[in-house]
Amino acid sequence: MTEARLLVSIVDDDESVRESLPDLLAELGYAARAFSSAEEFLESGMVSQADCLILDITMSGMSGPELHRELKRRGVQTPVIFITAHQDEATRKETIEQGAVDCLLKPFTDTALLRALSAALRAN
Amino acid sequence: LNDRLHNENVNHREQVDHPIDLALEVSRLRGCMNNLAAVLALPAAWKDQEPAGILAGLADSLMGMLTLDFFFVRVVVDAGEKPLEVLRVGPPHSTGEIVLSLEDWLKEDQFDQPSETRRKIGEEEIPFFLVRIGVVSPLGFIVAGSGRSSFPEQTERLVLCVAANQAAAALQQALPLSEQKREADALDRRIAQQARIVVESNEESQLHAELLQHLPVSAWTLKPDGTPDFVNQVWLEFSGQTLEFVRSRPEAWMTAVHPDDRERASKSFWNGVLSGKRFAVETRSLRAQDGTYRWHLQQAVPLRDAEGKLLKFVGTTTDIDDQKRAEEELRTSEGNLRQTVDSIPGLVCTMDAAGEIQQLNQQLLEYFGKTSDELKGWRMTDAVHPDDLPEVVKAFTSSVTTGIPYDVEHRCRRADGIYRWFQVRASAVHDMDGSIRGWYVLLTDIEERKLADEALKASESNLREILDSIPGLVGTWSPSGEGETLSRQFAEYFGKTFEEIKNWVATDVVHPDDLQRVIAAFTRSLATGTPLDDEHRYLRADGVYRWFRVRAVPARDQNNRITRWYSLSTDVDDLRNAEQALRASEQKLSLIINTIPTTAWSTRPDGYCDFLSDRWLNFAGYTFEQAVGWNWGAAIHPDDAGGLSECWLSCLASGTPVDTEARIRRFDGVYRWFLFRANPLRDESGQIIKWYGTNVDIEDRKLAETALRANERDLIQIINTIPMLAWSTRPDGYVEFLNQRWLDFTGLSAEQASGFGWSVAVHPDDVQGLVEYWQTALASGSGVDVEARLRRFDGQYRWFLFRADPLRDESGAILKWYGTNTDIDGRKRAEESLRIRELNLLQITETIPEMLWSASPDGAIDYCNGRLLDYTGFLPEQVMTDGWMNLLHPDDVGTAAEIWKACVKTGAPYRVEVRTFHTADHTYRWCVTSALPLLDQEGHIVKWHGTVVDMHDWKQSQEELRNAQSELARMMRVMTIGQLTASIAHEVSQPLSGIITNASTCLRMLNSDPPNVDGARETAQRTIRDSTRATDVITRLRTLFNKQQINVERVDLNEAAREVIALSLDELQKNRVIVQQQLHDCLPLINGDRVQLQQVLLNLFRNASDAMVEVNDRPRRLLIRTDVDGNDATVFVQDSGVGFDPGVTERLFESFFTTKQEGMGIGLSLSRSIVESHGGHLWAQGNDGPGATFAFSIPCDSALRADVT
Repeated sequence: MTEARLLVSIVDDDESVRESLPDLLAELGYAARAFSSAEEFLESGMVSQADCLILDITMSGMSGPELHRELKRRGVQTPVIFITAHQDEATRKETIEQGAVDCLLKPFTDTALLRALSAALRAN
Repeated sequence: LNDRLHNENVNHREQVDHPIDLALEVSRLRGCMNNLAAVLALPAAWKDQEPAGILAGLADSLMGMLTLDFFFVRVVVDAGEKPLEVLRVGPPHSTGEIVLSLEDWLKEDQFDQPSETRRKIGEEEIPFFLVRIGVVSPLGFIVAGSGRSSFPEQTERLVLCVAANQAAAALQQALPLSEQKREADALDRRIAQQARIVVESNEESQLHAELLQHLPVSAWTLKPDGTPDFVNQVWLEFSGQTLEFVRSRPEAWMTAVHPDDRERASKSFWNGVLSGKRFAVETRSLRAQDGTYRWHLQQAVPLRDAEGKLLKFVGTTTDIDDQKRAEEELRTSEGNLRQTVDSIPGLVCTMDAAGEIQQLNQQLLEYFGKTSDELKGWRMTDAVHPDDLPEVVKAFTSSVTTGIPYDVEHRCRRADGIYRWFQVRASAVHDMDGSIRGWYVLLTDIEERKLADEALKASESNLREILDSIPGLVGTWSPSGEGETLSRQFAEYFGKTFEEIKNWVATDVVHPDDLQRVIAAFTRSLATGTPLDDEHRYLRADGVYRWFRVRAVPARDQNNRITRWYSLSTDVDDLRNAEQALRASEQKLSLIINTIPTTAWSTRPDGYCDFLSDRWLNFAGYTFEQAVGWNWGAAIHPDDAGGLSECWLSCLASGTPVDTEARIRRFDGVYRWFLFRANPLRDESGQIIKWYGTNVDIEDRKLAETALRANERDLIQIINTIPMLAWSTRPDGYVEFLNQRWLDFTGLSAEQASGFGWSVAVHPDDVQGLVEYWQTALASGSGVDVEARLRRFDGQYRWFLFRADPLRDESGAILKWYGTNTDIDGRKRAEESLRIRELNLLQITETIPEMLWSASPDGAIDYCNGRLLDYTGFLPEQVMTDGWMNLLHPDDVGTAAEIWKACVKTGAPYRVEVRTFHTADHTYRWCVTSALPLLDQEGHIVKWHGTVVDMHDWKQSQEELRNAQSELARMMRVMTIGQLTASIAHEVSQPLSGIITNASTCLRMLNSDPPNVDGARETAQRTIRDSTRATDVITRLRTLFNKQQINVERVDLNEAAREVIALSLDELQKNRVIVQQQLHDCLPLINGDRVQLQQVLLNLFRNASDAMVEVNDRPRRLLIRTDVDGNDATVFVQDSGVGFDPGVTERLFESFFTTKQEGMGIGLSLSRSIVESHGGHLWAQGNDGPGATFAFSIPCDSALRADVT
């Protein structure tokens, strides 16, 4: 019997992220589920099942920070790591202030991701 | 009711024989009550029933209720229709028996209400009872019959009457309903029929399509929304459009319509389509075959189904080009005709048969000074001179009755009341049946001709009088010797016709002995032009030949050609006779005869008359004694006696010969003129011893002289009346004659003006020149032709032309000068004003601040104004003809000369930009030289007029502007890069992120134990894919921003838009902008620079995005739409932003105009430059709702101008 893996849910509208990141997380020892939009995630019924959330900031439809606020409104306290391709320090700062564990700038290394995940799981 | 029943019962009781069974009676009454109740309840069952149902219900109820043998009801539902009938028959009868019986009875149709009878049915006779239905207006009736002998009992009658009333009431309600229903049914039937027809026609539609396809006109159908769904081959072949293209959208076919007609066609088309009504429009459409436009009539009618629903439009396009052109020609021809009528130099009108004016031209209106309406309803007789009216009426009546053309000269009253002579000609216009429908009338003003005719007549008459009163035979002869005019005396003398006299060579008018000589002399004179002077004999009417001295002189024209011969034949017979007599007397009387003429006398030295010849005495009727001494003086005319006496005494005193004239009274009291001639006879010492004298009758000569003087007077009168000033001088120039006109004009008397006194009337400025000229002419004898001013009597000077020619004798010596002065003041003034105008024009061309030149039709320069010469520093002669090429930069000469040559040949406007020498700074400056031809009425070039405009500074500033624009374009690119940095970073970061993640995963998979090779391969492949994606992004950015060269290619604006959308999507998403695309499927490709156009798109997207930043109350919507509009591909960028103030619509495109806080205001300006360099245009418009739309369209066949980079 294997040890139950921690579940990381990824929400990103970029397909390459949804393809590559779950594989990397699997290699790092996590179970991963990827969603193409905030709306898909909210309707998946897995909102409160994840141990950690990795959210893209800029998405068509509901953005990452908006999803974060919505989850908090619903009382979901799952730790959140934001990822973004925009070098926008203000947004990054704002997400941290709103309670995100970290905000990673694409492209990021596996080390940076691992560090953020550890911090998140600690927070959990 | 109870009473009635009671009475009935009593009657009944009386009628029936058997005793009353009370229980039975009660039962019967109860039954009746039940029946009545049932009848009263019937209407409830009849509700919503049709009449047939009501009647059936009625019949069934009553048959059962009253146990009848039959029940029949008939109701007339609709007048003219078959009545509604219901028959119920019970056993034992058959329906046929009842019907027969009823028919027989009902034929009578004469029954009371109600009526009863008994009829035989089969073997049995049964009672019938009839009740009418309806009281006021009977609807029909019911008939009931029963085999019971008591039928109908009172209670049964009651039930039947009540039932009839109930049925009447129910029928009153049911009939209208039934009517409506019937109508509805009829409608249904019709619809069904229509539907059937439609179905059938659909079945035939295949056939129709075949038919339409092969019709010789363009035929087509449209869907209700206006989209064509069928177009036959005729249109497709004509327009060169494909069926797919025509079907692509409602207005696709209009691309073949002439641009000027397109808006009108579109309006008609949509009016028709949207209203569902027929429409028709005339347009010019392009024929693909030869690129010409032809007029077409497009018309369509709506096709509807049975319910009126619009199925489609069916239309045709008919070529009406020929009709259109014919119409146009007709219109032009009508215009020409009207112009012709209005420009005919006469008055033209048409009249109806009654002579009333119908149509007329402008000249007629002007002449009569009336309006067109006033003249119509006016009669020609209103304008005719009263004196001419009888003749006009007569001629007109004659024309009207006979129809022969009318041609009369009469006077017409002009607007100012003055009558002028007109030749009026009218031709009748006939109907098919030959009756006169109207008249075409032409009135030609012949006033001048009439006046001239009259003057000529007067002049001829005058001349004739002169001729006829000359005591001699006066004639004029043509240069070839034919008699033209012969005075009356000819006819009187010869007693012959003028024709006979003119033919003198062949007739006996000339003595045969003289004839050959006369012919020879006459022929010689005609041949040589020398005057004729001959004596010969003419045959008088009484057969006597008399001697005539015939003299003829030629008249010559300016070219010294003989125009006519004038002849005067004077009767010299007496003279010749006298000569002969003298000669005879000489012979007879030797010395005396030698000394003494016919009528002779002699005096003593003191004058005392001592001899008078018999001839003298016979003439005077004196005896010698009565005349001797001084007594003969009594025969002298008292008026002449003094003069004669004085002369005679003087001669006596001086001894000089006598030569004078005086009249001597003949024996009959008639005075005749005589020439008195006397010579003294001297002795050897010279002493006068005798005077010998003669008196020669010179009466005839005197008469001739008088006539001559009269002639001279006439001449003077002519000279004085001719409309010019005339004069004559002596050979030395001394003026001896000035005509009255001359004197009247100058106000000088003949004395003042004669000699050289006339010169005081010459203008002081002209006098010296004139006198010098005159002296030169006098010296050289050449003709005078000079202009000078003469002072009029009122002090005003007028210009005159002085002309004079010398009259020479045979030796060529000048005898006289004859001259005229002709008033040329009007012409002079006109010349002067023309000269002034020319001077003004010259001044204008020399003073206006433009460089001007002109050239002859062959292109040779013939004028340059001072400004042009000053500018170039050349002399006029250096520039004239083709010297202008010296002004141009050597590199421009060839092109300019070639274009100029072509323009001169074709007459096309000339315009070149050339470098022209500028003398002020010794440089060549850019100038626009242009010229237009001046055409005469026939369209030939009369002159070229041209200008030269220095546009060097303008051209330089254009160049600078282009540089500035180019610089701005570069700036915009740089700025756009800055603005897009975030977007670029994102675009690159995304694939990079994938690469790194995949690479990390790959490594980890390979490092695991055992290595996950399959997973590693897959992640490696993803790495490669993401790398490619990143490369694509970089390439796209590089082409967009590192561009240096213009690269013209076929551009698909849809594809270009998609790329830019892809590039901007991230930023737009970041701004929460919802991007929508509506890209036209068949957008044609355009020629252009794809990257430049993408910069425009990028700029428009960014503007749209910026305009929506502040919008939070509605979706931030960006709609990118492409469409085809005729030949143009159009891109619309529509946002839902804050929009713009309509007042700044055009300023939006100005450089450095911006509504954004951080904007530079160059984006739209440059975008417009780029679009316009593609031959397109860029515009902005507000939306119906919030926001704005920016759009640009580019023609599919555009050619990029390379002036914006």
